[in-house]
Amino acid sequence: MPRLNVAVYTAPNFEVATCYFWKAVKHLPEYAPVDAWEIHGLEANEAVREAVLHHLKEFDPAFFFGCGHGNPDVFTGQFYDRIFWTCNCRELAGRVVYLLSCLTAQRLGRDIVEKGAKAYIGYFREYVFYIEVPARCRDPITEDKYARAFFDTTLKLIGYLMSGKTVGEAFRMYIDDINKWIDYWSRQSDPDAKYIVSALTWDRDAARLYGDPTARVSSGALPFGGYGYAPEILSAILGASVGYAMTRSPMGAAKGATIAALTMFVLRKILKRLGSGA
Amino acid sequence: MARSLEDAITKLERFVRERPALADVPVAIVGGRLVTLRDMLEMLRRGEHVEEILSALMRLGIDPSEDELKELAKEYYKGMRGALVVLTSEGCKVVTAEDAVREIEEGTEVGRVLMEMYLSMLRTMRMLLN
Repeated sequence: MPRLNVAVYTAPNFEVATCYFWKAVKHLPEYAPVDAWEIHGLEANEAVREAVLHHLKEFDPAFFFGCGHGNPDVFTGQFYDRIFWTCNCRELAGRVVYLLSCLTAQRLGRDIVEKGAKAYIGYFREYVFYIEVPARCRDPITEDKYARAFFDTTLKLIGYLMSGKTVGEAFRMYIDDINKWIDYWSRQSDPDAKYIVSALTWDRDAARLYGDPTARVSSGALPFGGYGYAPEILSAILGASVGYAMTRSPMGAAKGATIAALTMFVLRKILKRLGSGA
Repeated sequence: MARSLEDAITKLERFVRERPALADVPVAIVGGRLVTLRDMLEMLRRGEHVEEILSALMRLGIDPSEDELKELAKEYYKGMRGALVVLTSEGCKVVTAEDAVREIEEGTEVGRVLMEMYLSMLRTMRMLLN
């Protein structure tokens, strides 16, 4: 049974298109509650079928997403390594799948759902985006203002899913986000704005959702494994009690609370990092 | 779509004001030249080619001929200063303005995508114009 709040993703990096997503995914923490998640990224040369299958088996994620070139029947990784193809995608059963790839919604996406995936989001046509400087890979969130809309919306979609939205809700919000960017760029005087508008319109109209729109991949956006900040709060209460007992003053209680809460926060961050092997 | 000169001018004025990014997209051939919605507005204000423009606005994005679509699309993409990154079944193509014109002229897969994108854009503009 695939595990909620666990994700595996692929981010190959061997030419301009894949490089853009590879840079974009570094910003995932700004879009998604990653502290409440176990995320396993397969980047660059790791984005190959063998590693993907190993990770799916080892970590059993409820959510798989990836960027890669594709055609109606195939999704690929690094240097076009074939990762999933029609009639060979059973490893995705029980999961929610998002493929930032062209054309896979024509056949592979349907097959992914038919073979047991809970839901699939992908594109029916070629995927297109606009960049400021030809043949240079720049960070689409912080450096390339023209590419930003495409990757902002993609990261938001992933973030909505990771925050507990259903697939249907996340998809609708994704389309709304694209429409907001279309509206924004259509109102700009920048001579390149029209090309962004047309590419966004194209991608929006190509996006497809198959499968169960009520499926979720998250148990909710609570950091630190689902307990929220409860340990910090309890530590603060304990710290305040000890601080007051020692100093008999509100200032002592406040200092005790602050030190205890901060200590717990840092300790949990360290333990989480050690536990994930990062 | 606009049924009278006044109606057309009103709609075009609003469109050009609210959607400046799209006001300079070549959308039709009028009087033998490629024109944008901004051009159409100016021509209507001067009383030039009124019937031809009103007809073009009625047909905006609806089944243009292949030749007309090709000419309009090439003119459209000539203005790119950045580049389109197109993920096709054959891989990734970074398409500059010069590449776009060539791909359309040669009728390649990328050229087809570019023309379809441009046509899709015209339909969006038609919707926004109303």
